[in-house]
Amino acid sequence: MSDEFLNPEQAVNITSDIEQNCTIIRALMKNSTDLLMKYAVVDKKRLVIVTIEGMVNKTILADLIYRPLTFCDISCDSGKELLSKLENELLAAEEQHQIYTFSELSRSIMAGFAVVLCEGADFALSIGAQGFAHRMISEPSTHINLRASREGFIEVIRVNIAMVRRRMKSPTLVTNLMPIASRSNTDVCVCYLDDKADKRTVGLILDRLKAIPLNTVMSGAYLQSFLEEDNSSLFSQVFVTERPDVFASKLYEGRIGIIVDGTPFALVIPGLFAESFQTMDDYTHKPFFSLFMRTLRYTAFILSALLPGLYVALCNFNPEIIRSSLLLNIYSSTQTTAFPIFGECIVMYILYEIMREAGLRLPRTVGHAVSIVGGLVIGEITVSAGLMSAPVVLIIAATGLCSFAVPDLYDSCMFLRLVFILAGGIFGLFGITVAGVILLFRLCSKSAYGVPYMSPFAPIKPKGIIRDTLVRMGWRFLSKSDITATELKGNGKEDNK
Amino acid sequence: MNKINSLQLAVTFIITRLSAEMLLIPGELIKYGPNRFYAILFAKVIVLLLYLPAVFITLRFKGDNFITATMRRSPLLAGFLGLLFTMGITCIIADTVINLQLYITDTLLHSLLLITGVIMIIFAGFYGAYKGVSAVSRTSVFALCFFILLIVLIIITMMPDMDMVYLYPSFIEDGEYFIQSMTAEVSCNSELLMFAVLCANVRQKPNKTLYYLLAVFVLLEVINLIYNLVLGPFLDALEYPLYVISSLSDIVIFQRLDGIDAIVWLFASIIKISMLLVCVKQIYSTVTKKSGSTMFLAVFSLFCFGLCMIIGNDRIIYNSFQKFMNTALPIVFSGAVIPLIALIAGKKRKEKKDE
Repeated sequence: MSDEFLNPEQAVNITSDIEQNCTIIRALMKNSTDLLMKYAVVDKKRLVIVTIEGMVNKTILADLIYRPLTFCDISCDSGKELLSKLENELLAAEEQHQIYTFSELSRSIMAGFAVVLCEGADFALSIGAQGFAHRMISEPSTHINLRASREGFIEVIRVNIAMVRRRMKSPTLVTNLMPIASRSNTDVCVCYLDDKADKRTVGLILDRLKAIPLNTVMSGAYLQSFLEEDNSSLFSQVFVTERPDVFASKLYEGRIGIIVDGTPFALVIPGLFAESFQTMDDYTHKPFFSLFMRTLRYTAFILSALLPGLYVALCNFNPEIIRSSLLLNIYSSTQTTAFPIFGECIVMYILYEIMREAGLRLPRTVGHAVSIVGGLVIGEITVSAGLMSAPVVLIIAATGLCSFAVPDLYDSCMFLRLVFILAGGIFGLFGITVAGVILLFRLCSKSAYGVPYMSPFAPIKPKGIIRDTLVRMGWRFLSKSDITATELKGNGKEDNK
Repeated sequence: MNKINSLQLAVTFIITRLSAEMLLIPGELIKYGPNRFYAILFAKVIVLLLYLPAVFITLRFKGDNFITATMRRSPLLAGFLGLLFTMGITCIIADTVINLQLYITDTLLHSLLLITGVIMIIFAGFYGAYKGVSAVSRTSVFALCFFILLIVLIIITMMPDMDMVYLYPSFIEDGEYFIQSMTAEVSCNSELLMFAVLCANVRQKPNKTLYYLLAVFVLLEVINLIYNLVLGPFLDALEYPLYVISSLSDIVIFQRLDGIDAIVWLFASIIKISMLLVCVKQIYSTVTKKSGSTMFLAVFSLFCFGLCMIIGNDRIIYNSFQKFMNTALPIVFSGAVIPLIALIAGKKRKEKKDE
């Protein structure tokens, strides 16, 4: 029964018989215990106020609906007239509108609205009284910085939209709210600056969102694979942020943002490789500091992906490249260990990832214990027991540290590291180079909605590189001109295959 | 059709040319002194002349390549020219792959089997070609960055070992040798073939790509200067001079730079192979009028693998093949003669239309 009522395409209209309406609503909600139906009588006409427990603010409900209804003195000829008078004269909610079908009614009460039905009226009044409990605005758990805003997105979409609006008080900021997923009816909001964003890309994203075949969407990550142009890639073409200031600044660059209800992580399209190395702190400090920090991040990323593989390759195949004194130390430490360097690296790498995963999922108190076990047992005991050599432990630890410098690329780096260890262990520097070239071919062939993923490095755009990619120029220079995502596009045909 | 800009193609050509520098066998061709300076200079002038038919094609046929221009005249002729051109490219691919494999075996990985090396190199090249001309040309930007980094490191670290005495003027002392050096230098310019095909992929003015010749000339002369200043009379006896110079460089972290040198050359050579395969793919697509050519590309790559195995397995065949390649015939024929035929054929068709 419920499906035909919920399906907007087979809309079943609200009737003027209030009892029948109530029966249908109860059946629709399967007599759910959180469905509240409060009856009242105004001018000898029966009213029912339908809400979902926990989704509405009781104070707002009392002030906006119960109190005016209790003390009102109006006379009407019909239920329709009564509802119209209530809407226009008596109730003064910020959001209120008439609804005519049970699918609209269902969506309204689920979204925290109070719905007023009246005997003799074949429509209902939906009144905004949302007031569900939610986490307060707090500092984001990722992308922490020193001098920028301390506000992070929360799980409530309306609050998130307001946070963006506060940072971008421009009439050209468009917020397009729509429900997706047939079962969860999750609200998503597509945000863009009308004068900056590429209209074709906006249309394409809206079409893709509408066509998403999922029944439930619990997080923005659910949408990512439907919005990316290359799903099999290690690197995502959708940028994810928890920060409203970053989100707003991306919109200013002509990107399209998507905020999903129920998650503090917003999506930005198109996401480029170089963006993973930028933080808000780059813009709050002096340019030379930004240059230094960005160079460090690029170096950290390269080391994080390549260091263990290079170590294995150099030790096994090309030891002559390493300094003699260092080489002697490495060989003396490996003399007492049970495994070859290649095996040591693989085992240590897997142990490290297990420890990280365990530390991440466990409660914080136990997580500390895992850190101690990891630091002391794995680090110290394995070396002293002769299971691992100290340089390998150091290399894997340094690699782990480097990967945290670029958190956005952690997943990709984790996989690449393993690939390069295998390539270096089997074919030495030759294997690493071939794997690296194939990786670069793949990265350079990717594009997100017409914008090359590796832009502005490849295809090379010197202005983009020296403006705000490797180097972050001073604000005086940056204020002279803007570069939007549309400008990074080629002629639209510049794509792979 | 995928489009790139002339700067991207120029960067790719520089990388292609630099990869060829590794594949020269200097011991057989190059003596110390400024002879090579003039060999490079004259070779660049000759290559510039060889570019003319391809350049005229782009001017006359509004950015089309030779194969498209000929297709309008006669698909049969286009197919024939495409086949001859592909043969030229196949020779260059085989030459590059085998020399690269030898280079890897001599420098990075002595235990590398011929079959493993050839498979890995051709697979990487195939993958690049499969991803398309944009992917390969964009990747070449990174290769150029690595190369410049390497050269700068070498210059910084080798500065104390450079000796100006090695630059005494020995000027053209042996005419025959000089001609050999020059033809070998011309034979390395496979970009000529790529330009003949890829000019159609360049947005706006494809001929601007030829500025790369000047950049390559300067780069090669810088490398040549480093060879002479550091190695002097020992250059004759060495097979891979830049590799040797790199092995003498000490940059604190690493005792020598030869591993990095080998990585850069390998990187550049894979880009060259990919670009050549892209050209073959494009010729096939144009002649057969099919847009999807992945299967053909895979079959052609397998054919190249077989050819490399035949040539690489037999030293006598390899030496004969090397001598043939050093004559620069495949480059001159495919890069200049075939475009010249296409230029004439295209012109005739236009005359008929006018009549």
